[in-house]
Amino acid sequence: MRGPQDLGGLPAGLVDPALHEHVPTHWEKRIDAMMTLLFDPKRRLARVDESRRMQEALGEDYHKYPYYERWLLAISWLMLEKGVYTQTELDEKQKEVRQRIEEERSGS
Amino acid sequence: MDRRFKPGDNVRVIQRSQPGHVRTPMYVRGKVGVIERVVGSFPNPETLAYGQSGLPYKMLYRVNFMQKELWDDYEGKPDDSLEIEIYEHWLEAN
Repeated sequence: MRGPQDLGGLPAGLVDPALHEHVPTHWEKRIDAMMTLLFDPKRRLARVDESRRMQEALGEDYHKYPYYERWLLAISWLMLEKGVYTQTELDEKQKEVRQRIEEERSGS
Repeated sequence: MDRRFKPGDNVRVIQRSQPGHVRTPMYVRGKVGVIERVVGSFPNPETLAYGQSGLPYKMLYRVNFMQKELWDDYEGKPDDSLEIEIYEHWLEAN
């Protein structure tokens, strides 16, 4: 019943904060902004507690993902769970975006 | 809202295995501490996490634990302590 976030008391070495310093990248800021819009009181499409539930459902995979990738997965799974969009719509959109990026790359 | 505990009360964190979005970490379950303060009442994260209302509100307490109570092999000062916030439904009088 121990979730992947519940690390207190488990064996671990020293943590060097200097190794974990990180300047947020552009895509990370976009995920943060997207989350703020989806979770704000006006829309309230989900809550932070729900996002945490989804992230912790990653289980052993939890620590394989960087922080904002976990946020992105959680947001996407929540929107699917709530029927904001379907898996088919998501797949189609991803295909469309991939195609656009490839076209932009080959065009430049 | 009713408060079951007041600052200074001895409490034990309930030793329970429970699936779902539980915010009570394993290392304090079954441990004895002292209520340091009443933080206030908040929607229950255990149900908020599943898209529910979080009602009824749950009382949240700051609980003080002696480090040597938490860790059998604690090597720091004997009066070192740790504070953590625990919801009332995870506490029992001790």
